[in-house]
Amino acid sequence: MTRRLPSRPPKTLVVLALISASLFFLPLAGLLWRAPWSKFGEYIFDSDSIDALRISLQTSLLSTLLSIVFGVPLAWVLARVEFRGRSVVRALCTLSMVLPPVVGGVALLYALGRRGLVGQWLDKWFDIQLPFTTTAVVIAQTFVAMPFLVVTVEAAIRALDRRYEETARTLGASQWRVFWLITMPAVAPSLAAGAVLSWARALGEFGATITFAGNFPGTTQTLPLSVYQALEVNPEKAIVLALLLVALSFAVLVGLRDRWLSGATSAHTRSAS
Amino acid sequence: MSINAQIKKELGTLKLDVNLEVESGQRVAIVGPNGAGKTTLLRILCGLVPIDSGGVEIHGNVVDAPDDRIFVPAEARNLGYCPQEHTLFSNLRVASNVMFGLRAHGMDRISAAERANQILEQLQLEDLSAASPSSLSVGQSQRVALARALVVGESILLLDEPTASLDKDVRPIVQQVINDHAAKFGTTVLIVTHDRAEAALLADYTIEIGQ
Repeated sequence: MTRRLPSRPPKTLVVLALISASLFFLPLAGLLWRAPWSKFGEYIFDSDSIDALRISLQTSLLSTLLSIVFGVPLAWVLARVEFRGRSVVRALCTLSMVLPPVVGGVALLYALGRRGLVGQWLDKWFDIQLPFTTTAVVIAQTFVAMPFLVVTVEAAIRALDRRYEETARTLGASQWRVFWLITMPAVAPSLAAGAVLSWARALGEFGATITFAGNFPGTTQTLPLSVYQALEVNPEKAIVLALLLVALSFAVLVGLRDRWLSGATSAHTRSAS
Repeated sequence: MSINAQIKKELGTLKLDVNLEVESGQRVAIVGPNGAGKTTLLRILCGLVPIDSGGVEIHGNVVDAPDDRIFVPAEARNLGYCPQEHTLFSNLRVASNVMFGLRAHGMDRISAAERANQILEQLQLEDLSAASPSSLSVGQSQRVALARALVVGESILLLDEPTASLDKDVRPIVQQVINDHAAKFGTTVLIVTHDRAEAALLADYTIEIGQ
């Protein structure tokens, strides 16, 4: 009887992989090393920290919801509707993924600020001022996070085998019915993956938020802004809050990874049919 | 319902040039070599592929006429189409797959379920009504796809190789169901097949394309 030994991975690849993994482990190790473990509870249950955590969770969840509501139709249009300039529209809609967030914040100020392109009319007609409010935090987060969902869902819709949707149409289903009953269930794993990525990006948002919404405790100060402020006056607290952010993101990503991220394909994708 | 069509369509290397006149209630087999455009012809008739020139009429109503800028989409053509690839919806159980078209046409859930069970029974699939499509064999999938097309295809039925994946012992049962369905509702049936014996069994006459 012969025993088949598992083949050894090439050493060079393993070494390079270890170096790249250490790039992610080391900063985390640095935080853990300097964490003031005895004062952990004191800093976390500090009222400012609780407020920042509450605002972070509320705004990031709301911006994820907005990303789903508006991002899915955008992804569908980009994937399925052929029109002139589609690639330019796609590039514009996903620009904030590569744009420095602070630039995004400045752009939002000039669009929605009191003297902005749209903001001046919101102020004049409806007495609505968006900058430096909690709503501004949600807008800034949606601006930077939605493209992650759009890109993921658009790729999934493109990869779908269109014959399933075509069959549904021959059975008398309207395009709306096909979208809800065939397309959406087929891209659900990718939608979930996109929503998780979007949420994680919104939770960690800093540059656009501080520029467009400011840094006001209890109103616009999210956890990343709280870390930034604490770093100047109380570095120990900054470490604790940073670890809280890491733990929060890590728990969600680990918890959902097997269920969603690795299974983001459907039986209706082209390769499966 | 009758079908009148003068079809000209170029699709990649395919050049389809077909005149079709099928009277109401007739059963027609379409045969021809691979790549002749048999499947494309059915896809044109059911509204998934627009023609380049000519015209398609279903029961006297123009459904595709490029010169007059008329194109009735698939969802409004009201016919039953069973594609060769089965394309069962994996997120729905077998019975729900069969009910899909009935529900899309506005039938209430209870009546749709009754009709679905009826057709599944005829095709000897009643035990699989709660099964997931992923658990079916190829032959079972083909029968479910046929059932799904039959329940909405009372006036016109377009079948693309409807028995190709079936075992020899199941094939006569399915052929009988198609014949009974056509006789009961006076259905106009177009069947794409490679099997000339089947064409003789199911159709009043045969059209050969791609010659």
